Amino acid sequence: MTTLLLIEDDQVLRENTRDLLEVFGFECLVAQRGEAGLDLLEYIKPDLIICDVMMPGFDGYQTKQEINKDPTTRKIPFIFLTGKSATEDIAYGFAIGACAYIIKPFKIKDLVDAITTHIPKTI
Amino acid sequence: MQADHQTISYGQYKFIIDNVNDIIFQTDSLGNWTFLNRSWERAMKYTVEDSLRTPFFNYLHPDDVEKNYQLFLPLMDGSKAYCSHEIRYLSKDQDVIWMRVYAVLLKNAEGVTIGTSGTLCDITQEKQNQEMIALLSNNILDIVAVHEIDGTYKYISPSIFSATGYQEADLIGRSHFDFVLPEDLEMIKKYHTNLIRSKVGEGENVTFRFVTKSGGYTWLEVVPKLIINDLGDVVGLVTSSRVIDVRKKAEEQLIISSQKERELNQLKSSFINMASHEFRTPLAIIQSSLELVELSISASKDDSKPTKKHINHIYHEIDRLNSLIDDVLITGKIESETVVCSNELFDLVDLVKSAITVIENTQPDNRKSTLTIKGNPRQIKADPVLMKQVLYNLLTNAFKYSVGKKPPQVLLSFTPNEIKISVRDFGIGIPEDEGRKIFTAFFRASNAGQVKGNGLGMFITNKFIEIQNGNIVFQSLKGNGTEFVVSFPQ
Repeated sequence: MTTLLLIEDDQVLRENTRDLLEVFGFECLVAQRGEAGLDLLEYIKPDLIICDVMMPGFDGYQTKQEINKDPTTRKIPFIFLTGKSATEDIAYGFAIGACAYIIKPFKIKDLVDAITTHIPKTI
Repeated sequence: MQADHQTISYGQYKFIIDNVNDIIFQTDSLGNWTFLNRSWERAMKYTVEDSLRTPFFNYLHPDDVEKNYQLFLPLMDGSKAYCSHEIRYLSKDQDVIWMRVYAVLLKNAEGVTIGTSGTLCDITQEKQNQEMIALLSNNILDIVAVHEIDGTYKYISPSIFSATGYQEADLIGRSHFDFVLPEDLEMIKKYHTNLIRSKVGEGENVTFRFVTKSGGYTWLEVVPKLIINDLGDVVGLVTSSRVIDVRKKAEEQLIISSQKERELNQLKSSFINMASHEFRTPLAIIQSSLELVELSISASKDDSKPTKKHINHIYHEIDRLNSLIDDVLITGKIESETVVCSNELFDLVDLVKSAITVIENTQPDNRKSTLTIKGNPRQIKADPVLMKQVLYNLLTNAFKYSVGKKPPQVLLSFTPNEIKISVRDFGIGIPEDEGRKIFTAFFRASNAGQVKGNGLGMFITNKFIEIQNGNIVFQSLKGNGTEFVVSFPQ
């Protein structure tokens, strides 16, 4: 089963998104903050990470940059899921290594499409 | 020399005397003219013949008769060998003639006074000039000053008093640097040095604070002019200064208000930015919750029509709120002039086709628009992102305001100098008297009725076209439809 890590500070959105992703057959781990997500990554290497940008503590960009420092996590596909919609924000997201940038509110189908496009294909 | 004198005839003397500018006169002891040259006639308009043997005081200005008597006294009582003064005469035409009088006593061999002799010089023009200068320097608000090369005041006009409270005497002999506010002194010294070095006649204006007698300061704007002698050396300078306190205050006020406005705008921008992003998370929650509700409904096999209808309404309103957030964010960017516009070559036909497909796919009535291409299609130089937004807005409106009518028509025309995009619909049209306002933010036409919109679409469209150096015009007839034509010179 494909394991995802969802980092989102809003509890309701975090749970809704997890529930929806599970309906689509993904196992979804969740973290409330960037720092918590990084702690989790020490023990578990998910197939893909979904992360909000505006969060207390480490924001999504900082979280991704921390992930990049660790060779064991750097290559995990990373999707930003955020309300920040300015072109420069999107460009920055891609520049630091995201493979997709989805703006809230989002349709679960769009998120699932992005996940399936980017998860490593297993033979 | 002696021989020359002897050879000059009486006629020659008379010619010379009559042709000197000054009036040469003689009077007897009673003050009657006994001799006048022809200059008298030129200045006074009386003939010499008529004037001789008449008393000179008959020709004085009535107000100056007593003064003239007083001025003559020292001469008459022998305390002075000559008298020299300025006095007013009245010409035959009753014009005031200012005369500079130079007179000596005439005595006979016994030493008895037999009259006077001297010259009268017409100084009316000179007096008028002096009066004019006095009038100017006493009444103009500008301060005129003459300085030594080191800045020492040699002359200053009386207007210095009303401007600074100083009398002219307080400044004469002192350096103008003594009166510059310490904060401005270094700048003024540097300015002065550069000005003197430049040897260019007129310097640029300079403003500084002049310390007034009361200890405060007043803002002066100074226009300097160098005095350069025949050898090309700077020997001093003339300055004309003006009090600009009101202007400076207005400038300061303007700076403060524009700073305040900038701060408020920044605050507004950050608020719009923050609020818009903060709206997106609750919307995402509504969206995801709704998707979960939908999933649970379909699992429970409860697909009743009303439930589906309401779910669709909620989805639709999420989309509407989301596009409002997008438009408000774009409007904020337009207002803060931070819209980024690239200028690249791309295929306009492809972009128009894909925009048409996207917008057609969202139409519940499945209407399909027609696309006509005129001329030889070529790439356009513009910003593809902004252009896509323009097309989306025009096409969305064309469909939205023509429900139940025939579908919109799109025409792309390529001419050598221009590329035009026309979007024509057959809908409700725009009332004639409202046409001017359609590019204004938050404006909605009075006949828009139940058609949903936020009034930002055409504002954004117009601005995005403007930013790309394009032009948009429209023709509309209420009830018949509207045609928007966007053109880009290439």
